Amino acid sequence: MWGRTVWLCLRAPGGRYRGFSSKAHPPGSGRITAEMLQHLERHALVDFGNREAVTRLEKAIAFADRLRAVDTDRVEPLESVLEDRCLYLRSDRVIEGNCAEELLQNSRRVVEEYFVAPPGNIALPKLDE
Amino acid sequence: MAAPMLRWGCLGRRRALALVDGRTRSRRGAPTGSASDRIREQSSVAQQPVHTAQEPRKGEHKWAAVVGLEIHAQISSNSKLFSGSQVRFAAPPNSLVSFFDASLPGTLPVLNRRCVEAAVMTGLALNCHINKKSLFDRKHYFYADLPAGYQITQQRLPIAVNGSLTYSVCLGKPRNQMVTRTARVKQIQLEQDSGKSLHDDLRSQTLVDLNRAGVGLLEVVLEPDMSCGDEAATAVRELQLILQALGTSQANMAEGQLRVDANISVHHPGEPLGIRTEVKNLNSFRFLAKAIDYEIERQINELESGGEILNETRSFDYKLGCTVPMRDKEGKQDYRFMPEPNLPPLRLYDDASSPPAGTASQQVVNIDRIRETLPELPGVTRERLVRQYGMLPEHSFTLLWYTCCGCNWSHGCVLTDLTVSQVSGALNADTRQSPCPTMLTQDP
Repeated sequence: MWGRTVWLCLRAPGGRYRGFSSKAHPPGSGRITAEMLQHLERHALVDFGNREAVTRLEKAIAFADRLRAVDTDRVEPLESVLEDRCLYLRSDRVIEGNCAEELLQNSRRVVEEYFVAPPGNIALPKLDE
Repeated sequence: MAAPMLRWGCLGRRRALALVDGRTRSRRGAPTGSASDRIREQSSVAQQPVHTAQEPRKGEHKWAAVVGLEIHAQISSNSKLFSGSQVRFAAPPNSLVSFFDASLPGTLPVLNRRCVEAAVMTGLALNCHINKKSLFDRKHYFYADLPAGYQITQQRLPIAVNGSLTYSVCLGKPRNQMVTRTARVKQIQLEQDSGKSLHDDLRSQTLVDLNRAGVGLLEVVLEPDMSCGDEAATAVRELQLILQALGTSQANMAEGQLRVDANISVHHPGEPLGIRTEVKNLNSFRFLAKAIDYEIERQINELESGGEILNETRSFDYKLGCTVPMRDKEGKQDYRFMPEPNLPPLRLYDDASSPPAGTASQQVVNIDRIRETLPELPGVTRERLVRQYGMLPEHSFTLLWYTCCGCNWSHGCVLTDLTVSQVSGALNADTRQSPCPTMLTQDP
């Protein structure tokens, strides 16, 4: 996480995204700041590595922004399309588990019966990896 | 079990908090070791003063501390909140994990009825309003022991709201005045626990055990109605007794079944609240009280020397006896809450509202039926001990603290796991030294 953050901080000031950021971004244009871009990259674990990707992102935002034109005042949000159904309740019985061996097959690295993860938080893989 | 508990209590008493002018002065021993050598820790009576929280200085009574708590209690159930895998402490790693707990694609959450009932019961015991409709949400963050990348919780509409927790603190020079305080319960929400990470710094890797992933938690949010570590620890202790009386959680802090985050700020009375810090993962009463008192003093010192308080997350370093900023969170967290699409709203019923026709009885949770099954709560037990047996109020506290687990109070078997001599010994010791039981220094 730290490595990633530092990397972003180092990259951002003189980095290649500078051209894409605009201080004034009228609603609907989808224009995003470098700061927002870093924020999205961190949360989506996606690297918007080139101009084309950023343009696509901006288009997607502009597309979704049209939803703001819908007047939702005094309209109760639909929580779920299943909201008129009862939520099924399960009785408190143990019916699963005991499949560590099967599950651990999905792990690239295993120590004893543990999954092995990199130290700290999950870092975004660099482009060249 | 009773005998060692009594002994700890006596030792604890010597390390008791002393209240000076209504302010707390800590005289507790330096903490040593981790939760695993808790027992050793309990019997070491280090007497050196560590730090002094809110020491009243001459002419200075201008700072007021404000403490709110978020308490996570693991629900005592056979299986997890949304899956049928077992809940058990200290099982072989990853042996209690279903495909859902490992968030394999295509798996879906199925809510455990027992966890819903435990939440309703706890809500009723804490005088909450039970929401007949509550909602589940996803709270997103990336961590290796959270395989889905989100935790299912109840952010928008929790199962219980607007309750209260009443607890008693001791005041006065001989510490024999019991003063009743109330902390408001903002809400109780059902949520999933995460897995456990073991950090291997030597080999620079993290070992992940998902046995705890998906265990049901009750998050109890207390409003900032407390003002020092002593009060906060007493409130949590009372909550622990209530949970244990209800059987909704074993609430054993040493096994991580009760974990506390504290929100702390200081301000001048009459002015708006100060900027708060959050101290995470306090898992013993001693550290809870100590961390809060340390943090209050740190904030006061910081502000008095012209500094400012950052809205940050800190952790308590029990070896150094101080709080330190947590480094793995930078800036403000954005949890990107969204409605959990796989779970429709949870609906509860009472005698006045009936479920849709044709609903199977095992699908119905009736609030009034649960209310009928509530056992006698610790506060009522104490009252009864005082009224029926002429016991001093402070002794009724001592007695409950010593015999909290596995004792059925409602049938008058108050002394089942204590011998008469142990009890009278403890009570006499109480009278001689300080009539108030000290719960902060012991972690039963």
